[in-house]
Amino acid sequence: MLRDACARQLRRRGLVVATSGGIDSSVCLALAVRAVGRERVLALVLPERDSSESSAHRANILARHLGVSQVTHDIAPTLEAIGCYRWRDEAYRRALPEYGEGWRSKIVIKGGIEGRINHFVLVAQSPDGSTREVRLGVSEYLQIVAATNFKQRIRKTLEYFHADRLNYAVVGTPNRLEYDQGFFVKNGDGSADVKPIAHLYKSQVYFLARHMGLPAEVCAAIPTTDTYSLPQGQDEFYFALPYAQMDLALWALNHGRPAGELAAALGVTEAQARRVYADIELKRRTTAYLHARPVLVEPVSELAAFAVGGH
Amino acid sequence: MNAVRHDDTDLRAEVRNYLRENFLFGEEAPRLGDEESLIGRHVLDSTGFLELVAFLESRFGVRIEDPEMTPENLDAIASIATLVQGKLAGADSGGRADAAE
Repeated sequence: MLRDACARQLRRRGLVVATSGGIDSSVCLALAVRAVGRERVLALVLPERDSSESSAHRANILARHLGVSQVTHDIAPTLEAIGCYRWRDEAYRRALPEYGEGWRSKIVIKGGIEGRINHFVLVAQSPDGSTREVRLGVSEYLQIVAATNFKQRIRKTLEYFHADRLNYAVVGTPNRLEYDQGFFVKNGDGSADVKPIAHLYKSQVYFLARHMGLPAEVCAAIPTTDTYSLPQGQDEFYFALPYAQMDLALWALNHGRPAGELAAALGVTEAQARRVYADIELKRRTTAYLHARPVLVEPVSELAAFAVGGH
Repeated sequence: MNAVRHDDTDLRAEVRNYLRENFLFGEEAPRLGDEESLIGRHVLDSTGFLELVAFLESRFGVRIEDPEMTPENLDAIASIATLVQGKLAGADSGGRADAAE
């Protein structure tokens, strides 16, 4: 599929894959190598100030394992220049005036499974190690997200630079859970020419990693956003449950399983399982705009004959 | 802070007006029922609730606590009005003991 997408549908000569060292991008890179050969694949590693060392380490191990060319580009100076950190920290300080140099931080979602309305909390650790938690008001929350979205958008800018330079296509790396639930940045990591694992549940991606014999460090990677300076699981930021349970919940909902059955499988109450289903449906609705192509007043129908991939 | 008194009808009207102007761009058709679910009618999503809370806190000078961030309190015009009125009444009885009468 990837080979056909690259050569025939997209008419590019190879594939660019930005790798974070996480399981999804690792599997996508391995699939790209299998599809078009390692000499037609470029791996990009794009760390910034808040990326963890272990992410880059795993990315390096994988690139060596697969024998692909790899370019590493530290995007921190670009993010600094464009104001990513400055806008983010200004919003942090509105919520927590003491926040400053040497603090580490993350955003945590609260509410969903307890039946409350989802809201966001800034968790910040001062240089002396004490931790503070404050609820974020809407303008602070939106500004923090908008500022951190620079990271995914700058990465995508570099991916397309290399893709244009080499006449390659860009591989997007969302799994089914992320794609379905809109866990991506529009025109950031959501942007790509081909998304080879968007139909796979996260547990299937792990299975595929082991099936393809990827290095143990890669197969064992815990999903993180790698976007905030305190360790942060994806489930803390976006999902109501840890990812393995979220994956199961999505599967159960997609296969029409009653909430009682999901509750038994997850060890939660039936009411909580129903709230998880409701949260999945709500996220589909609220993130529809991330998937949407720009709204036109009327279709430009002459282009239909040239559409790629059924669009 | 102004000491305007808000009865339930005023509060419902003000919340309705805010929802209509901010989330529906002035078009409220069909009319939102006072008891109708704002999630169910797709008026509010999770960011929308945060905006609503910010509006209530700044407009009425109240603080919505984390445990109060529930659909029971915030998912319908009537329950929002009840929540805010309860908070204003509490603030009134504490802060204006020697006024009026």
